[in-house]
Amino acid sequence: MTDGRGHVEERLDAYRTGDLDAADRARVEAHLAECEHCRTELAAVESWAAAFERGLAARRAGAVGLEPDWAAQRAAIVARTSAPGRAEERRAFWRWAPQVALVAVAAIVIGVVWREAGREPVRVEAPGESRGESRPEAAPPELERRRADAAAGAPTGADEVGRTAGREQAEALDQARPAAPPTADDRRAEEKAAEPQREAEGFEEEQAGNEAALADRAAQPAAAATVLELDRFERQARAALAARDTLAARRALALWSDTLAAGEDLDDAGPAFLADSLEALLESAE
Amino acid sequence: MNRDPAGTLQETAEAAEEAALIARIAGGERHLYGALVDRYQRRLWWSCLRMLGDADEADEVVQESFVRAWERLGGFDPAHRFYPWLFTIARNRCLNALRRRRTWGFLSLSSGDDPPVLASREETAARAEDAELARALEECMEDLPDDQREAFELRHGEGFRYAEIAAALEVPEGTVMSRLYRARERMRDCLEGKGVTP
Repeated sequence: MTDGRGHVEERLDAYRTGDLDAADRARVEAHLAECEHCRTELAAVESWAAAFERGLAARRAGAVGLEPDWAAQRAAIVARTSAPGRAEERRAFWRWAPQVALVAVAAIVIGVVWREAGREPVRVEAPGESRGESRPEAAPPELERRRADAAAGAPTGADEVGRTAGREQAEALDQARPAAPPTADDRRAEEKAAEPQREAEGFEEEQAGNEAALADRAAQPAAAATVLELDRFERQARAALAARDTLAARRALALWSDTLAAGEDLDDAGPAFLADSLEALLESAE
Repeated sequence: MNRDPAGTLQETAEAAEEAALIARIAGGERHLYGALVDRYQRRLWWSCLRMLGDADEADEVVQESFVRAWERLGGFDPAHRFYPWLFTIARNRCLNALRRRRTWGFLSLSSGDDPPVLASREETAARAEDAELARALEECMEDLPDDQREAFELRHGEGFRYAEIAAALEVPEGTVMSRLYRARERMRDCLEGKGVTP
C-alpha cells in the first residue's frame, strides 16, 4: 500500500473520498500521523482534485452547441421502453427458459419410456446379419446416420459444435414431420394379421418407428437444448475470462455465437449483451 | 479530510431514492423510466461523445443503452448506483462502434479556431478562468495513455467511486488506484508547465 519510500501517496485520493476499506484507511491514518510529506501531499491531492473537477465540468458546459435535442432523445427512449413488446417477451423467455427446458426434457423422457413399455423390444441388426438375402438392405438407424454424418462431414474442432448441433436439430425436425410414428397398438394388430410377412415388413416398421422416435426426441427439445448450450458457453466464457485465458474465452464466445445463430428465436438481449461485453473485454485484453 | 459526512448522507439518501424508483419501474410502473432518462441522458451522452467524437453516434448509443438497460433492469443490483451500471452498458456499445470503424474518436474541445469550450461574452471572470483551466486540462489529457485518461475522466469527471471504475473497466481496484495516481502526477506536471495552479 506504500511506495518504495514508505509513503502512501497512491492511496491518498481514495482515502480522502472514503474509498478505502477499514484496514487500509487505518494504515494510511497511522502513516499520516507521522509523515509530514504525506500530509502536505494530501492537501495537494485535495486541491488538484477540485481543480480537475472544476475544469472537467467547464469543459462539459462548453459542449452545449453540440448537444442533441434532449426532449426528442427522451421521447425516443420512452417510446421504445413503454410499449409492452419484444423487451418483455425476451425477459419472459429467459425467466422461464430453464423451467421450460426441464419440463420439455421430462416430458420427452416420460413419452419415450411409455412408448417403449407398450411394445416389444426393438431389435436392430446390421443389414444382412441374420434376416436373409431377400430382405432389402435397411438404412442404419437415424442416430447412427447422424453420428456418421457428423464424423464424416462436419468440420472438426470445438468451434463447430454449436453449428453442427443446430443443423442436426433442424434436419431431425424436417424428418419428423412427414410420417407420424405408428402406435404400439397398430403395430401389434399388424403383427397378428400378417404373421407370414413379419420378418420382411415388421422390421421396416420397427425401423421407421426407431427413426421417428429419435427424430422426435431430437426435434422437440431443440429450443431447450439451445438454451442449455448458451448457458454452458456463458459459464465457460466467464470462467475463462476470470482465469485470463483469452483463447478459451474467445472459443467459448465463438460457440456461443454459433448457437445463437442456430436458434434465431433466441436472439435475446441477455446473451447479446454479454457477448458485447465479452468481445469488448477480449479486445481490450489484446 | 475524508468525504464530507453531509455529502455522504446526501449521497446515501439519493441512492436510496433511486433504488426505490428502480424497484417501482421493475415492478411494472414503466412510465417512471423517463425520470431515469431525464436524470442521466446528458451525462451519458457527454461520456459517449468523448469516446466517439461524433454527436449523432453518441445520441444513438445513448438511446440504445437506455433501451438495453431497460431490458436488463430486472438483473440490476439495487445495492449499486444505477449510473455506473448504465455507463458500462454504454461503454461497451461505444467500444463496439469504435471497433466497427477501427478508429478512436477522442473528441478534443481544445483544437480548432473556434473551440466550443469558449464561453459567452457575459461570462464572469471565474467562468473565464474555468474555461482556461478546461482548455489546459484538455490539452494535458490528450497526452495521457488511454487507460489512464479513461480512469481519470471517470473519477474526476463522472465522480465514480473506485469500485465503480474497477467494475466499469473490468480491472482490479488496485489497478485503478495505480492508473489514477500516475494520471494525476502527469496532469499536475503538465498543468504546472502551463502555469496552472490549483
